Amino acid sequence: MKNYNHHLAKQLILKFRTYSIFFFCLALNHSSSYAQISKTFTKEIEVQPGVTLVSNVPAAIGLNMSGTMSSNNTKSRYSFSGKNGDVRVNILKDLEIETWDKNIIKQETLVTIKAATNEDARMVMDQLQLKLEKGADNRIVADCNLNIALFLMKNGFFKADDCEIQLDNGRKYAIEYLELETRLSIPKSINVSIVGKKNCTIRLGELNGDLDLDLKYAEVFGTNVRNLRASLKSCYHVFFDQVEAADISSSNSYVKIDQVGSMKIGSQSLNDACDLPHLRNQRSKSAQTKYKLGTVGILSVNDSANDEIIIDEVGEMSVKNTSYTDFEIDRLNTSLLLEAKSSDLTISKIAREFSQIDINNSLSTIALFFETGANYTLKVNRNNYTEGLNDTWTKVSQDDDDKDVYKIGKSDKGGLVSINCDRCKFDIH
Amino acid sequence: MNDFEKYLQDNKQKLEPDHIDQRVWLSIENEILRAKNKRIKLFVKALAAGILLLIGSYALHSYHHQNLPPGEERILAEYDLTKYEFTQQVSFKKQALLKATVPQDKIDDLQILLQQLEFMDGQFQDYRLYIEENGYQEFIGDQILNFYKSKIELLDKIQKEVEKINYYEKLQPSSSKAVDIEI
Repeated sequence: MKNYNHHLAKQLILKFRTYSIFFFCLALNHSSSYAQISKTFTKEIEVQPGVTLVSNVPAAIGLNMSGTMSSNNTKSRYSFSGKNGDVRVNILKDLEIETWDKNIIKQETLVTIKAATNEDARMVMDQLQLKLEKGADNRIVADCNLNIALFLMKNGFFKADDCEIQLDNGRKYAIEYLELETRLSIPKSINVSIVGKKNCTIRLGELNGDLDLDLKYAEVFGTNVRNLRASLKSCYHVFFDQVEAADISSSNSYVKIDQVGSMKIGSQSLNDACDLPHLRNQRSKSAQTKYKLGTVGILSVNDSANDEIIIDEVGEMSVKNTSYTDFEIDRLNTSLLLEAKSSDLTISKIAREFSQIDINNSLSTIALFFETGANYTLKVNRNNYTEGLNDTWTKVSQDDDDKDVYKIGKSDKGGLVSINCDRCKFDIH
Repeated sequence: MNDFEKYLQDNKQKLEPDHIDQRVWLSIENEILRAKNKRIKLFVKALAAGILLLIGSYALHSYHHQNLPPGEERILAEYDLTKYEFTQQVSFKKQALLKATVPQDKIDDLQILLQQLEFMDGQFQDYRLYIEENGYQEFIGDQILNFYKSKIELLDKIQKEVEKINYYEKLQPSSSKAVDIEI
């Protein structure tokens, strides 16, 4: 009996040893099955003022996925998991462009790769290249995703996640996980052009050059820019502190600029990225966008439909080819020429020194409030159906266009207000 | 009982063999067992086929379901936007517009807004496509929230413009006949 017990104990110990060796091997196998390495790719090139940096957006990397996947994105991360919830691709969506006084463009891209072995991960890392070179056309192309063209993932009912990256030379490499983070530092004096159809957040420092944006689903937080040209679609947060000259066409967006020298709205067609193919020809150059502007020197609205334009203070303003766009202006200093349809207009204060207001509109509400002591001549076409015009004004004459002419104020001097608005409601004080 | 049965009963003792060969019994038993096994095998096969059929149809259904573009309600639920009852509001406002009429010579004035409404319907397809290609991303939820607010504002604007047109039509009637708004 004693012998038997001894034998049993020996057997149990042996069994336990075997299991521990088995589990140890399993753990070792698991830990050694994936190797993760990180590397920051950095490149600097010296440039002269006047060159243009052309950049894509971080999430522009192509994705080709089939099978079970889930996205666990956050506001700043573009992240996808595979079959068992393991994160397979993780890209920082923010593109921070710092500007400095040095004549150097610097790109820093942090890449993290997980592969089957350390050698595999290193081999893939060795194939990645940061190409930041000056082209013959004075343009420098920055690719936030280095030379990675595509991330591929496949899985199935009996198949685990099979991930690869495809480089721009067509070569594919098996990996387990990819992470990218890019940051740019540029001279203040150069021009920047950013094209992106995927969601991203762009943060840009002060720029003395031109900024060209062709964006969809993006957020832009800019500071001071000399010339801004933007084609935007569904960009609900586009902010700038100060722009010397802006030319913006956009649809379904929100644009806020605190101070702008001259601004054009809807002067250029929206780029392809901003159009839905089957409706391209039916749309205005600026539509369903809210523009919130602080101080504007000259504003020119060329083609707008159902926008909302809110301005603190504007010097000169001209509006044409516009329908259903409403204007709300706190102060007008010099002149306004408006040719529109069904566009409501409210100007809370028109400066005493204004020179001209010319309104051609229909089916609208026009509210004009002149600064105290303003003298002006008012011409109104009374053949149109109108409501709210002051009957106490003294008509002084009738002009060649059949408009009634009134003198408002004590002096004969002052600006000229000409209104031709059919089926309109007025509030003029 | 007939004569033959009576004979068998009477001569039961004589007719029973003294010794039965074991092989005969074994063979009879095997025969019975084989028949029993055949029935069990048939049952197991049918059961396996049924299970396989169930698994297959489930896999096919899930695959098909996975590859179906997500519906509007599913997308709204995914982003926890159903509480705003956007689709109900849009439907209610569209119903109200469908009942409205405007003079035929004024319908062109509304075309820009009606096209924007059509464009917005296309816009939602764009979100759906983005979700199909890139998964449910947080920003698409914000986009859809803004999208529905804009769409509701647009429907309100169309309603307001229709009312404005009809208000002035009442004050200055035209000879144009009233037509429905096609949305």
